Amino acid sequence: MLGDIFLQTWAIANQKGGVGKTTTAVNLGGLLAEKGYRVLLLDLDPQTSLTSYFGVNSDEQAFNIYHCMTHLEWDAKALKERAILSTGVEHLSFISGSIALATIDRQLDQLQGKGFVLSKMLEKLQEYFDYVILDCPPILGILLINALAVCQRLLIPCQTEYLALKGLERMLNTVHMVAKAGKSDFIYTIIPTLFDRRTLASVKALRTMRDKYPEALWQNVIPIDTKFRDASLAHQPLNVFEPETQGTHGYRVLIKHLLQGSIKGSEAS
Amino acid sequence: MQQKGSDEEILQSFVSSLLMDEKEPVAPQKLVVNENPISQKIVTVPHKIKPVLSERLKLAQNLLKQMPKIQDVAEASRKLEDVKVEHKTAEQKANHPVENSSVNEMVKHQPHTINGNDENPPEFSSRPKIHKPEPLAIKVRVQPQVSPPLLKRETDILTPHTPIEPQLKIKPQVIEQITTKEIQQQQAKPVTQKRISKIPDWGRGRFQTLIFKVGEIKLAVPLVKLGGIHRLDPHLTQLAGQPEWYMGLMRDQVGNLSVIDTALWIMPDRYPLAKELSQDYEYVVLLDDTRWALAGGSVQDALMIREDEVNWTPENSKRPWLAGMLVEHMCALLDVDVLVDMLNKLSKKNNRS
Repeated sequence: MLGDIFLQTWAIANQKGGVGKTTTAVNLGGLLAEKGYRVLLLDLDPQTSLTSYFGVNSDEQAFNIYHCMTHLEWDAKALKERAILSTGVEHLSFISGSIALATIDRQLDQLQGKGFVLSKMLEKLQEYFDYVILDCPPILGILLINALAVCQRLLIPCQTEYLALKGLERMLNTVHMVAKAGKSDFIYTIIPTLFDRRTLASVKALRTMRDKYPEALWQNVIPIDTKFRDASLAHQPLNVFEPETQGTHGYRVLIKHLLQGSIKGSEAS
Repeated sequence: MQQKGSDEEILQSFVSSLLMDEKEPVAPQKLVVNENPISQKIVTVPHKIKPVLSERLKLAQNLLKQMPKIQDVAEASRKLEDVKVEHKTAEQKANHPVENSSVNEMVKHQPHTINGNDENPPEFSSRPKIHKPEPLAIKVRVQPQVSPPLLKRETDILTPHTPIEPQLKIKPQVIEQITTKEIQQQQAKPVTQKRISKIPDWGRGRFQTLIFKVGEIKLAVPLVKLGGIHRLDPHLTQLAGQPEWYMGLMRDQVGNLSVIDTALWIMPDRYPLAKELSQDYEYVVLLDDTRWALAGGSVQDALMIREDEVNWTPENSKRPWLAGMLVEHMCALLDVDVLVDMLNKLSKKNNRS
């Protein structure tokens, strides 16, 4: 568990929406926090799904991730006092997203090293967290590139259905582009999500994924579970809301796999 | 398919541009910025300004391409020299010393070059008139302290067969003037913000490591620095007044080993978790030829590692004993020499107090 030694950053990304990015971010965060790790979730999506998950209205926040990224002069203390919010779960904090993130490309346009803004920001928080989980936007833009530039692990949730497979190809293409640009020191793992064993479409899509991406695919699945919706209504990770459901079990297996560091993911290069 | 290809190129260019600025450069590239063979100088171009330069050069190339009567760029440069002599003024001397970019000069004098005549250049009647265009290349004052070329990659923009790339759309603000001062400032600054990593001698090229686990944490010791592995004696001799991470003394054939609670050493701020992990110790890993030993849960494989597989720890790290991270194996690589040195110092300090 490298998070024990130095800050580990995991990016949750897919250029298709609705595949379970936020759910994955929240639940992995919840399980890491349950193990005693200090976890920070970052909402990098202008749609602010993660922020809403915890019942926070991003418009009402004086400071959010947009401010953190555009005020690199803020030190760790300022970041903690102004932007880091509690989720109500021990060891689990988050920084709110903002609709203003949609304009960040323009804000950072003149900045040198604009692909490393997030990296600089997180460097200041090394002392305070063991894991940072980035809930990325479903668009190839400056935010996604920042996330890929800083992460040690990239997790790509992919709904087990035909259309999601197309989005997955796009995402992997982005990963290879980033690797080509010189950033290849992260491992990516594809996480089959919303798997419904009762439907042929799900089973077929999973089979296709296993055939096409045998190295990068995590061999288990996150099953479809209505409790995920209930947990989001309660603004809690599923392991806190309902520790013994199928969904929680799925993420527990996943977190065990990730923490063991067994390499069933692929290197970006 | 053509469209798809160009889309990918655009995206790749976008991604690269974002990740380029602070990437650790392999070596600064050399760019020839004066076509005059006598005064040709090679200057070191900082990585950060390379994209701007490259855009300017491309633009200059495209402008040359648009000139219908000039097929031979070398001939153009000769004509250019003639025109330069005619039009050199005191002001130009002040603004454009010998080291100035010839690209800059060339673009400034393009209308003259076409006909070799100042008046009525008919070729330009159908094109927008160029009013003292902004310099397309930087003014580079070659400093005496510029180090000799390290890389034999030179771009002579006046080579006739230089492939001319498609016209780039350059935003007006991109074509701003970069002054000598700015260039000097950029050169003075470190090219990258990244901290420099110090790679131990044993870490060069390929090296073997032994992996052992502490709980789920994987640690790697370079084999050249591994003194041996023993099963942990459950009955260590406790010493009073030692720090928490000092487990006690263990006897081996040679004498006493000082056993370190590895979990507590690597994460002193995570006491409950570290204490929990220390319940699983089974072995001790001896550090080099010292009497220090790290306690570990299980010993795993020996791995052959390449230097480039390690994310080397930057200098001035808060954990100097950590040589780096083996990303592929999710494993922390120990710098045994540094670790031993730290243990010796702490031990001495502890004994004195």
